[in-house]
Amino acid sequence: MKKERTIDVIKKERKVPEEVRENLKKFNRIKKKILEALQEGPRTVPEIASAVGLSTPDTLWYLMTLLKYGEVKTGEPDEMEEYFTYQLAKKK
Amino acid sequence: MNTMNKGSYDALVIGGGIAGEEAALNLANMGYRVLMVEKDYSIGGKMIHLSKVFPTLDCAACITTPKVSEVARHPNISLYTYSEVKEVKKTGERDFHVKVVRKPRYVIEELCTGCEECERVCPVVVNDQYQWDLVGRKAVFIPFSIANPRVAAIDIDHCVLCGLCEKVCPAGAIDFTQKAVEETLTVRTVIVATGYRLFDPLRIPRYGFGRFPNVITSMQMERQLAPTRPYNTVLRPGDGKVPDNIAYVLCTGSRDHTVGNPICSQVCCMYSIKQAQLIMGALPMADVTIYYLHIRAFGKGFCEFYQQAKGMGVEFVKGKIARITEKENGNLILRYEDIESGKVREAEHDLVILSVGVLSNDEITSVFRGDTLETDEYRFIRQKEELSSPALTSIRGVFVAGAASGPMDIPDSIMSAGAASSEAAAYLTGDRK
Repeated sequence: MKKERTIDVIKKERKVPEEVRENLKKFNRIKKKILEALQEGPRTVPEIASAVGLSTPDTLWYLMTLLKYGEVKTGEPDEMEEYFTYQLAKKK
Repeated sequence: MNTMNKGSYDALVIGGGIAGEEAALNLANMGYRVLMVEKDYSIGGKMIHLSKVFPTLDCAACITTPKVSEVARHPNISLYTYSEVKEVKKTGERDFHVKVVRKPRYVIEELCTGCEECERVCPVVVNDQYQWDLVGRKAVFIPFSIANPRVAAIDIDHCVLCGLCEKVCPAGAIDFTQKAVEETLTVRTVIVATGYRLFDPLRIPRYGFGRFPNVITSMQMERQLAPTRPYNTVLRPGDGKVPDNIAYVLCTGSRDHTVGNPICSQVCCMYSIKQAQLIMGALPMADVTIYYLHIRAFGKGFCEFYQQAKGMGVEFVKGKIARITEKENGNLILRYEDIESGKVREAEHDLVILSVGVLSNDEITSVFRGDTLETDEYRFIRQKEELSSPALTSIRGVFVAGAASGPMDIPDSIMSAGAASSEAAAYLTGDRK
């Protein structure tokens, strides 16, 4: 069994590329905005996109990633049954 | 890189898709010791990612996972995933010297239980290649739910080195000190089961893939129809709308001289017809139109399957798509030559699926030293005696299984693997000339 943390070993050998750090910051920023937008209740992708200020394809990608990791869940379809709504998975 | 001598095997099977699995199992069941080398994190090939198979609509994963598990557990099969064959040199009959590089996944396979604790705490998200980029995954991740081995891996290129995964792993399986290791081995025969690549539709800019988010590939739709689908339902990626007027563009990148691939993929007619039927099941109100050049329904039960789709209401239009343009609402205008009437027409759809073709995957030929593993004019592995002994290659003792020799569907790949393993067994016993 290993005893010391191996992360400290690789940190001496490898540098994290700038774009990887930026990607993390971007995700955290967008995640926060999406979750904030959903605090007001269930919303569709176009509604979330305009609240967050992101394109609809990017919104869908981030939203589905949040769905996959249990932050968001699918709600009812909208009136026209064109779009599903999404809501926070965890109650505040 | 450290080099280790890891002994000998009767057979090396390169590639852990359906053909490689079948060939490895046949040889292992005959008592031969087999080493399977797979470059991906999991075996299962393309098939394990499919929703259902044609023309029976059986669940693809349900058919393939028993074979996958059998390979992983067979006492006569050693399995190297995330590893690449770097060199194969024939030094005599039934004597091949092989170099394999085992790349680091930064997770100790024997310790990882697949609990996903690491995945939950990892802060990074990037495109999930196993969902064809429709959704994100973490930098430490179980490749997909039915992966085998079901072991996490760290995508070190996207890792921020925060160390959270190592901190939470209850099994102590994270190991950032792993390095690539080269192993040298000897084997007595080789089966090449390296499969195929899918055509990249970015190469046909007039179809708008990559620019118009509602133009997707057939593999992306396959994922949307699978039980482990990225959206939990069928949605268009442009805005999450439930599509109700879907078009298929057959022969995208196949039977097309302009992209250098004049051959038929053998599968795009039938998988599109299959998907059309599945869509009608998932979205009963949706219209599905298939734009085709010819419907090639040549196999057992294929024509009936085609008729069944027509009976369900799938519309078939004999037409060649000239170009696709996007409207402001994300819908797409398909401009096409209606071959029946000889007129140029336009049609609007809200989601377009490009039924991409099959290309050779010829990288493996570069690892052969001394003897050349020859390819045919389309860069598939050349079958030395295509009609009488289709598994033979240009090197005696090296056999080809599955789509490495040319486009073929799943049952044909399995039969081809049966032929390759029989030939290999005969070669191993020394009876074959």
